[in-house]
Amino acid sequence: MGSRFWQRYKNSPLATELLDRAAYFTKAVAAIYIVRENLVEFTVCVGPSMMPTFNPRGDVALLEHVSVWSGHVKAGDVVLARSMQNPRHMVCKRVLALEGGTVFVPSSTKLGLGKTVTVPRGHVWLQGDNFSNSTDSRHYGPVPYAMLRGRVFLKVWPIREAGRVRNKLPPWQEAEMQRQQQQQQQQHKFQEALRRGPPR
Amino acid sequence: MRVPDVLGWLGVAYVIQDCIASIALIKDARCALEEVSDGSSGGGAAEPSTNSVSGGLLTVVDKLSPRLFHFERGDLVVLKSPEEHSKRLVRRLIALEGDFVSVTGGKLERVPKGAGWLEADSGALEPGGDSRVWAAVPLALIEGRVAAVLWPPARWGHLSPQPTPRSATKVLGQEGSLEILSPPIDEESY
Repeated sequence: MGSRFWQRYKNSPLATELLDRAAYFTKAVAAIYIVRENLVEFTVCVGPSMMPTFNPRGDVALLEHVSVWSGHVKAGDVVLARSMQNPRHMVCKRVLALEGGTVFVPSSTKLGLGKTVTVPRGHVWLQGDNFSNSTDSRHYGPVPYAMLRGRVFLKVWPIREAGRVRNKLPPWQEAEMQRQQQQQQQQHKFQEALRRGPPR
Repeated sequence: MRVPDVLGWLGVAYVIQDCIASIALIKDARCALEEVSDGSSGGGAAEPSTNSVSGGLLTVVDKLSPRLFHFERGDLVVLKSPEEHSKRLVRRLIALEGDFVSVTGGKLERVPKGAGWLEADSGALEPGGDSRVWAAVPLALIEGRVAAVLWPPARWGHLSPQPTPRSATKVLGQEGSLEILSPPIDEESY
């Protein structure tokens, strides 16, 4: 019966028009999906963990996926990542260190007394800007890079605070990075000296 | 058909393979689908069936169930490697959050919130590693579930949850789903 119905109406102007509309709509939805998943996307950052940068009531921000899939995320960037503790949730945090980097974790967290942690291969260290009220890598450890969704680069709402989200590190983490760089340079020099052998 | 039309339908195809299901070639099928050779198949002795899966497997990957957060113990899943974000691995999901896992000789370990325990069918020495190397990994890394095998025709058919063959890891589940996976752990060990 359905096919007879189809036979009768398939060439009517209304049917072709409807089909055209449906096809156009499907393609438009697909295009929007592709842009949202691979280029830019809106997000709402809720919660107190990013407090000076984002208000706890929920700020609207833009995030871009390009720097994540091309591997250009730097220490100090604000990123949106999937939550380690619940696959349904997204969290907004700042990257404090990339793989191989070191972070000083103060005491009174789950990871134990104040100590320096090295971020393992393929992981990043995420921490909220509001250190006293944030569940982050200090609780669940370093996060796999594959959990990152995108880099938050523009704050859109509230309109008064709209503007770029800056790349910055807390001063103690900057000091830690400098210390690590110096150490690496020294090691490099040492190895060079070893390779060259004793001076003549 | 005009060029924009073709591009549009390509976009639709991309969305379908990203959200609903895709066809994927598992190159190193040894890590994924080693046959459990029971006595029932007639071989008797535990003969390794690796030769039957050499050369890769063409599979249907279901992308919908991880998007709906539907994870089941024993499923074969495709995940992004926690050590290298561009790499995809195929592993078996052995335990979910809240389960207790006991690796050979080790003590009981609880799988943390939002994480799962994934193992390669061929053993812990599989390149790329598995949970015996990484410990539990977040479930958000999972991208798809291997739902069916298309190519070699001998293996044709859909896949149901099953335990990893020859794995010594024991799982103590919360919801009693453990009998399909492994022998239960004796109570006094924890």
